Amino acid sequence: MTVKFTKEQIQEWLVNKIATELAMEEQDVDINTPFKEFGIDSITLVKLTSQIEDWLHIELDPVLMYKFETIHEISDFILKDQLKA
Amino acid sequence: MENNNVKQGASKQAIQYHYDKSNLFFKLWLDPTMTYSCGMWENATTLLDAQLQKLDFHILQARGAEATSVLDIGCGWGSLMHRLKDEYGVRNVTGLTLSKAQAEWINSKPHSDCQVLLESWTQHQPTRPYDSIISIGAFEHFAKRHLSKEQRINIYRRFFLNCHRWLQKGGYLSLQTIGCGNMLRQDFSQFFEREIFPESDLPRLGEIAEAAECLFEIIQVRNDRLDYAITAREWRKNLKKHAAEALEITDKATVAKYEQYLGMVILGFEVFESMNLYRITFRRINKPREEKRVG
Repeated sequence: MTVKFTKEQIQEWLVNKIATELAMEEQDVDINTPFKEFGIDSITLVKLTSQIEDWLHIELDPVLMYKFETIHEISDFILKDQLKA
Repeated sequence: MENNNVKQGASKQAIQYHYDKSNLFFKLWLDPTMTYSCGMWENATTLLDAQLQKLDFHILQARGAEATSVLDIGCGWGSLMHRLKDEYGVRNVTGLTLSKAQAEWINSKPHSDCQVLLESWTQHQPTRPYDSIISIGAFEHFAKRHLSKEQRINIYRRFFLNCHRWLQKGGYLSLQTIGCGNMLRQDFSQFFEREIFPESDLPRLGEIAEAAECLFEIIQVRNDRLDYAITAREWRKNLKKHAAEALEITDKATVAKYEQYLGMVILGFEVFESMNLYRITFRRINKPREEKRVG
Protein backbone atom coordinates (compact mmCIF):
# COMPACT_ATOMS: atom_id res chain seq x y z
CA MET A 1 0.00 0.00 0.00
CA THR A 2 1.48 3.34 -1.05
CA VAL A 3 0.36 6.38 0.92
CA LYS A 4 -0.85 9.33 -1.13
CA PHE A 5 0.87 12.58 -0.36
CA THR A 6 1.80 15.93 -1.81
CA LYS A 7 5.20 17.45 -2.41
CA GLU A 8 4.50 20.02 0.31
CA GLN A 9 3.71 17.28 2.81
CA ILE A 10 7.00 15.54 2.07
CA GLN A 11 8.88 18.79 2.40
CA GLU A 12 7.19 19.63 5.69
CA TRP A 13 7.93 16.18 7.03
CA LEU A 14 11.61 16.42 6.08
CA VAL A 15 11.93 19.93 7.49
CA ASN A 16 10.44 18.71 10.75
CA LYS A 17 12.70 15.64 10.96
CA ILE A 18 15.88 17.53 10.11
CA ALA A 19 15.03 20.30 12.56
CA THR A 20 14.46 17.69 15.27
CA GLU A 21 17.66 15.78 14.49
CA LEU A 22 19.78 18.91 14.46
CA ALA A 23 17.95 20.73 17.26
CA MET A 24 17.11 23.60 14.92
CA GLU A 25 14.02 25.71 14.43
CA GLU A 26 11.95 24.50 11.47
CA GLN A 27 12.04 28.00 9.97
CA ASP A 28 15.82 27.71 9.75
CA VAL A 29 15.71 24.58 7.61
CA ASP A 30 15.74 25.84 4.04
CA ILE A 31 14.46 23.38 1.45
CA ASN A 32 17.05 24.52 -1.09
CA THR A 33 20.07 24.26 1.19
CA PRO A 34 22.26 21.18 0.60
CA PHE A 35 22.19 18.71 3.51
CA LYS A 36 25.93 18.92 3.94
CA GLU A 37 25.60 22.61 4.79
CA PHE A 38 23.40 21.68 7.74
CA GLY A 39 26.24 19.50 9.02
CA ILE A 40 24.01 16.44 8.92
CA ASP A 41 25.96 13.17 9.11
CA SER A 42 25.64 10.09 6.91
CA ILE A 43 24.02 7.93 9.54
CA THR A 44 21.26 10.47 10.05
CA LEU A 45 20.67 10.65 6.30
CA VAL A 46 20.43 6.86 6.17
CA LYS A 47 18.02 6.91 9.10
CA LEU A 48 15.88 9.57 7.44
CA THR A 49 15.72 7.57 4.22
CA SER A 50 14.48 4.58 6.15
CA GLN A 51 11.89 6.66 7.98
CA ILE A 52 10.57 8.11 4.72
CA GLU A 53 10.19 4.57 3.39
CA ASP A 54 8.23 3.53 6.46
CA TRP A 55 6.11 6.68 6.43
CA LEU A 56 5.18 6.57 2.75
CA HIS A 57 5.33 2.77 2.31
CA ILE A 58 7.72 3.11 -0.60
CA GLU A 59 11.16 1.69 -1.34
CA LEU A 60 14.07 4.11 -1.48
CA ASP A 61 17.80 3.62 -1.84
CA PRO A 62 20.06 4.71 1.03
CA VAL A 63 22.22 6.63 -1.46
CA LEU A 64 19.22 8.83 -2.29
CA MET A 65 20.32 11.73 -0.11
CA TYR A 66 23.70 11.73 -1.79
CA LYS A 67 22.17 11.80 -5.25
CA PHE A 68 19.76 14.57 -4.36
CA GLU A 69 21.23 17.12 -2.06
CA THR A 70 18.30 19.22 -0.90
CA ILE A 71 14.82 18.70 0.50
CA HIS A 72 13.46 20.26 -2.66
CA GLU A 73 15.27 17.83 -4.96
CA ILE A 74 14.35 14.79 -2.88
CA SER A 75 10.69 15.63 -2.60
CA ASP A 76 10.61 16.16 -6.38
CA PHE A 77 12.20 12.77 -6.94
CA ILE A 78 9.92 10.95 -4.53
CA LEU A 79 6.82 12.43 -6.08
CA LYS A 80 7.93 11.55 -9.60
CA ASP A 81 9.03 8.11 -8.47
CA GLN A 82 5.70 7.48 -6.83
CA LEU A 83 3.77 8.71 -9.88
CA LYS A 84 5.85 6.39 -12.01
CA ALA A 85 4.90 3.48 -9.75
CA MET B 1 50.14 -20.68 24.94
CA GLU B 2 48.70 -17.77 22.98
CA ASN B 3 50.95 -14.97 21.93
CA ASN B 4 49.86 -11.71 23.62
CA ASN B 5 49.43 -10.07 20.26
CA VAL B 6 46.80 -12.48 19.07
CA LYS B 7 44.60 -11.83 22.10
CA GLN B 8 44.03 -8.42 20.66
CA GLY B 9 41.28 -9.52 18.30
CA ALA B 10 37.57 -9.51 19.02
CA SER B 11 36.70 -11.49 22.14
CA LYS B 12 34.15 -14.27 22.22
CA GLN B 13 31.75 -11.85 23.91
CA ALA B 14 32.22 -9.27 21.15
CA ILE B 15 31.60 -11.88 18.46
CA GLN B 16 28.54 -13.22 20.23
CA TYR B 17 27.19 -9.67 20.72
CA HIS B 18 26.70 -9.53 16.96
CA TYR B 19 26.33 -13.07 15.67
CA ASP B 20 24.31 -14.49 18.55
CA LYS B 21 21.62 -11.85 18.21
CA SER B 22 19.14 -14.45 16.96
CA ASN B 23 19.44 -17.07 14.25
CA LEU B 24 15.83 -16.40 13.26
CA PHE B 25 16.51 -12.69 12.92
CA PHE B 26 19.40 -13.28 10.51
CA LYS B 27 17.34 -15.87 8.66
CA LEU B 28 14.81 -13.16 7.78
CA TRP B 29 17.21 -11.18 5.66
CA LEU B 30 20.07 -13.46 4.59
CA ASP B 31 19.75 -15.86 1.65
CA PRO B 32 18.50 -19.43 2.25
CA THR B 33 22.05 -20.71 2.88
CA MET B 34 22.53 -18.11 5.66
CA THR B 35 25.72 -16.82 4.10
CA TYR B 36 26.65 -13.60 5.88
CA SER B 37 29.36 -12.12 3.69
CA CYS B 38 29.64 -10.31 0.39
CA GLY B 39 28.29 -12.27 -2.56
CA MET B 40 29.86 -12.46 -6.01
CA TRP B 41 27.55 -10.81 -8.48
CA GLU B 42 29.28 -11.31 -11.81
CA ASN B 43 26.57 -13.10 -13.85
CA ALA B 44 24.42 -13.63 -10.73
CA THR B 45 20.87 -12.33 -10.64
CA THR B 46 19.74 -13.36 -7.17
CA LEU B 47 21.29 -13.15 -3.72
CA LEU B 48 21.36 -16.94 -3.52
CA ASP B 49 23.17 -17.20 -6.88
CA ALA B 50 25.67 -14.55 -5.78
CA GLN B 51 26.38 -16.37 -2.53
CA LEU B 52 26.79 -19.78 -4.16
CA GLN B 53 29.04 -18.30 -6.83
CA LYS B 54 31.16 -16.72 -4.09
CA LEU B 55 31.44 -20.03 -2.20
CA ASP B 56 32.41 -21.85 -5.40
CA PHE B 57 34.97 -19.16 -6.20
CA HIS B 58 36.74 -19.66 -2.88
CA ILE B 59 36.56 -23.44 -3.17
CA LEU B 60 38.14 -23.17 -6.62
CA GLN B 61 40.82 -20.75 -5.44
CA ALA B 62 41.72 -22.92 -2.45
CA ARG B 63 41.77 -26.06 -4.61
CA GLY B 64 39.04 -27.36 -2.34
CA ALA B 65 37.34 -29.50 -4.96
CA GLU B 66 40.28 -31.93 -4.97
CA ALA B 67 40.84 -31.75 -1.23
CA THR B 68 40.08 -34.38 1.35
CA SER B 69 40.29 -31.96 4.28
CA VAL B 70 39.37 -28.28 4.36
CA LEU B 71 39.43 -25.77 7.21
CA ASP B 72 36.90 -22.93 7.21
CA ILE B 73 38.04 -20.15 9.55
CA GLY B 74 34.99 -18.14 10.61
CA CYS B 75 32.44 -20.61 9.30
CA GLY B 76 29.30 -18.60 10.05
CA TRP B 77 26.17 -20.69 9.77
CA GLY B 78 28.01 -23.36 7.79
CA SER B 79 27.13 -22.60 4.16
CA LEU B 80 30.67 -23.15 2.88
CA MET B 81 31.07 -26.34 4.92
CA HIS B 82 27.86 -27.77 3.56
CA ARG B 83 28.79 -26.77 0.02
CA LEU B 84 32.13 -28.54 0.38
CA LYS B 85 30.44 -31.68 1.69
CA ASP B 86 27.34 -31.81 -0.48
CA GLU B 87 28.58 -30.46 -3.82
CA TYR B 88 32.26 -31.35 -3.77
CA GLY B 89 32.29 -34.47 -1.60
CA VAL B 90 35.11 -33.26 0.61
CA ARG B 91 35.53 -35.89 3.31
CA ASN B 92 36.74 -33.84 6.26
CA VAL B 93 35.43 -30.32 6.73
CA THR B 94 36.23 -28.39 9.88
CA GLY B 95 34.82 -24.98 10.75
CA LEU B 96 35.84 -22.54 13.45
CA THR B 97 33.51 -19.98 14.98
CA LEU B 98 33.23 -18.11 18.25
CA SER B 99 29.48 -17.87 17.89
CA LYS B 100 27.58 -20.39 19.98
CA ALA B 101 24.39 -19.73 18.02
CA GLN B 102 26.15 -20.50 14.74
CA ALA B 103 27.69 -23.71 16.09
CA GLU B 104 24.31 -24.86 17.39
CA TRP B 105 22.69 -24.05 14.03
CA ILE B 106 25.24 -26.13 12.12
CA ASN B 107 24.96 -29.02 14.54
CA SER B 108 21.17 -28.95 14.34
CA LYS B 109 21.16 -29.67 10.61
CA PRO B 110 20.16 -33.23 9.72
CA HIS B 111 22.94 -35.47 8.39
CA SER B 112 25.48 -32.76 9.14
CA ASP B 113 28.80 -34.45 9.64
CA CYS B 114 30.86 -31.29 9.40
CA GLN B 115 32.97 -30.66 12.45
CA VAL B 116 32.33 -27.24 13.94
CA LEU B 117 34.58 -26.07 16.76
CA LEU B 118 33.68 -23.24 19.08
CA GLU B 119 37.16 -21.81 19.14
CA SER B 120 39.31 -19.05 17.73
CA TRP B 121 41.99 -19.46 15.08
CA THR B 122 44.43 -18.56 17.85
CA GLN B 123 43.42 -21.69 19.80
CA HIS B 124 43.01 -24.20 17.01
CA GLN B 125 45.31 -27.26 17.22
CA PRO B 126 44.62 -29.61 14.31
CA THR B 127 45.86 -33.15 14.55
CA ARG B 128 46.77 -33.36 10.87
CA PRO B 129 47.40 -30.84 8.09
CA TYR B 130 44.62 -29.52 5.86
CA ASP B 131 44.69 -29.58 2.08
CA SER B 132 42.97 -26.21 1.82
CA ILE B 133 42.00 -23.31 4.05
CA ILE B 134 39.24 -20.81 3.34
CA SER B 135 38.38 -17.79 5.46
CA ILE B 136 35.52 -15.51 4.47
CA GLY B 137 34.59 -12.46 6.50
CA ALA B 138 36.52 -13.33 9.66
CA PHE B 139 39.75 -11.39 9.19
CA GLU B 140 37.91 -8.18 10.11
CA HIS B 141 37.67 -9.48 13.68
CA PHE B 142 41.31 -10.42 14.12
CA ALA B 143 42.50 -7.04 15.40
CA LYS B 144 40.79 -4.70 17.81
CA ARG B 145 40.50 -1.01 17.09
CA HIS B 146 43.17 1.42 18.23
CA LEU B 147 46.10 -0.95 17.79
CA SER B 148 49.18 0.33 16.03
CA LYS B 149 49.91 -0.73 12.48
CA GLU B 150 52.78 -2.85 13.78
CA GLN B 151 50.52 -4.61 16.28
CA ARG B 152 47.97 -5.33 13.57
CA ILE B 153 50.58 -6.74 11.24
CA ASN B 154 51.94 -8.92 14.05
CA ILE B 155 48.50 -10.40 14.62
CA TYR B 156 47.97 -10.99 10.89
CA ARG B 157 51.45 -12.51 10.72
CA ARG B 158 50.51 -14.97 13.44
CA PHE B 159 47.42 -15.90 11.44
CA PHE B 160 49.48 -16.60 8.33
CA LEU B 161 52.03 -18.54 10.38
CA ASN B 162 49.25 -20.72 11.76
CA CYS B 163 47.75 -21.27 8.31
CA HIS B 164 51.22 -22.11 7.02
CA ARG B 165 51.68 -24.67 9.78
CA TRP B 166 48.24 -26.17 9.25
CA LEU B 167 48.44 -26.52 5.46
CA GLN B 168 49.91 -29.35 3.44
CA LYS B 169 52.92 -28.53 1.30
CA GLY B 170 51.86 -26.30 -1.58
CA GLY B 171 48.38 -25.91 -0.12
CA TYR B 172 46.18 -22.94 -0.91
CA LEU B 173 44.43 -20.39 1.27
CA SER B 174 41.54 -18.31 -0.05
CA LEU B 175 40.77 -15.23 1.99
CA GLN B 176 37.92 -12.75 1.77
CA THR B 177 37.93 -9.64 3.91
CA ILE B 178 36.72 -6.09 3.95
CA GLY B 179 39.65 -3.69 3.91
CA CYS B 180 40.20 0.02 4.40
CA GLY B 181 39.69 1.94 1.20
CA ASN B 182 39.61 5.70 0.89
CA MET B 183 39.48 6.10 4.65
CA LEU B 184 41.82 7.24 7.37
CA ARG B 185 41.72 5.29 10.59
CA GLN B 186 40.04 8.18 12.40
CA ASP B 187 37.22 8.08 9.85
CA PHE B 188 36.11 4.65 11.08
CA SER B 189 32.47 4.88 12.09
CA GLN B 190 31.92 4.93 15.84
CA PHE B 191 28.45 3.57 15.17
CA PHE B 192 29.96 0.39 13.72
CA GLU B 193 32.44 0.08 16.55
CA ARG B 194 29.95 0.72 19.33
CA GLU B 195 26.73 -0.79 18.00
CA ILE B 196 27.52 -3.36 15.33
CA PHE B 197 31.00 -4.90 15.40
CA PRO B 198 32.76 -4.16 18.70
CA GLU B 199 36.45 -4.93 19.05
CA SER B 200 36.98 -5.21 15.30
CA ASP B 201 38.98 -3.29 12.74
CA LEU B 202 39.71 -3.35 9.04
CA PRO B 203 43.09 -4.23 7.55
CA ARG B 204 44.79 -2.39 4.75
CA LEU B 205 45.82 -4.43 1.74
CA GLY B 206 49.49 -3.64 2.34
CA GLU B 207 49.26 -4.93 5.91
CA ILE B 208 47.88 -8.25 4.71
CA ALA B 209 50.58 -8.54 2.06
CA GLU B 210 53.34 -7.68 4.52
CA ALA B 211 52.06 -10.16 7.09
CA ALA B 212 52.05 -12.98 4.54
CA GLU B 213 55.56 -12.29 3.19
CA CYS B 214 57.83 -15.31 2.89
CA LEU B 215 55.02 -17.60 4.07
CA PHE B 216 52.57 -17.37 1.21
CA GLU B 217 52.83 -16.37 -2.40
CA ILE B 218 49.99 -14.07 -3.39
CA ILE B 219 48.49 -15.57 -6.52
CA GLN B 220 45.56 -13.26 -7.08
CA VAL B 221 43.94 -10.20 -5.54
CA ARG B 222 40.46 -9.04 -6.43
CA ASN B 223 38.70 -5.97 -5.13
CA ASP B 224 34.97 -6.50 -5.59
CA ARG B 225 33.91 -3.41 -3.67
CA LEU B 226 30.65 -2.86 -5.51
CA ASP B 227 29.58 -6.47 -4.91
CA TYR B 228 29.18 -5.54 -1.26
CA ALA B 229 26.88 -2.64 -2.06
CA ILE B 230 24.64 -4.97 -4.07
CA THR B 231 24.71 -7.63 -1.33
CA ALA B 232 23.88 -5.13 1.42
CA ARG B 233 21.04 -3.71 -0.71
CA GLU B 234 19.53 -7.18 -0.93
CA TRP B 235 19.90 -7.75 2.81
CA ARG B 236 18.38 -4.36 3.61
CA LYS B 237 15.49 -4.95 1.21
CA ASN B 238 14.82 -8.32 2.86
CA LEU B 239 14.94 -6.82 6.33
CA LYS B 240 12.51 -4.06 5.31
CA LYS B 241 10.22 -6.63 3.73
CA HIS B 242 10.22 -8.76 6.88
CA ALA B 243 10.15 -5.89 9.36
CA ALA B 244 6.94 -7.10 11.01
CA GLU B 245 8.41 -10.57 11.59
CA ALA B 246 11.64 -9.01 12.81
CA LEU B 247 9.67 -7.09 15.41
CA GLU B 248 8.32 -10.36 16.75
CA ILE B 249 11.89 -11.53 17.32
CA THR B 250 13.59 -8.38 18.47
CA ASP B 251 12.82 -4.78 19.40
CA LYS B 252 12.19 -1.79 17.17
CA ALA B 253 15.49 -0.13 18.05
CA THR B 254 17.46 -3.20 16.94
CA VAL B 255 15.62 -3.42 13.62
CA ALA B 256 16.24 0.30 13.01
CA LYS B 257 19.90 -0.13 13.96
CA TYR B 258 20.37 -2.96 11.48
CA GLU B 259 18.65 -0.98 8.73
CA GLN B 260 21.05 1.88 9.42
CA TYR B 261 24.03 -0.47 9.48
CA LEU B 262 23.14 -1.97 6.11
CA GLY B 263 22.45 1.48 4.67
CA MET B 264 25.85 2.64 5.88
CA VAL B 265 27.50 -0.40 4.30
CA ILE B 266 25.98 0.57 0.95
CA LEU B 267 27.25 4.13 1.31
CA GLY B 268 30.70 2.99 2.45
CA PHE B 269 31.30 0.66 -0.46
CA GLU B 270 29.54 2.61 -3.18
CA VAL B 271 29.51 6.33 -2.42
CA PHE B 272 32.42 7.03 -0.06
CA GLU B 273 34.65 4.21 -1.41
CA SER B 274 35.88 3.96 2.16
CA MET B 275 35.83 0.17 2.18
CA ASN B 276 37.09 -2.42 -0.28
CA LEU B 277 36.24 -6.08 -0.58
CA TYR B 278 39.31 -8.20 -1.06
CA ARG B 279 39.40 -11.75 -2.31
CA ILE B 280 42.97 -12.99 -2.11
CA THR B 281 44.41 -16.32 -3.16
CA PHE B 282 47.56 -17.50 -1.40
CA ARG B 283 49.81 -20.46 -2.10
CA ARG B 284 51.87 -21.88 0.74
CA ILE B 285 55.61 -21.39 0.29
CA ASN B 286 57.19 -24.68 1.27
CA LYS B 287 60.56 -23.37 2.33
CA PRO B 288 60.01 -19.95 3.88
CA ARG B 289 63.10 -17.76 3.67
CA GLU B 290 62.70 -16.28 7.12
CA GLU B 291 60.35 -15.91 10.04
CA LYS B 292 60.20 -12.33 11.07
CA ARG B 293 58.59 -10.17 13.72
CA VAL B 294 57.16 -13.07 15.66
CA GLY B 295 58.21 -13.44 19.25
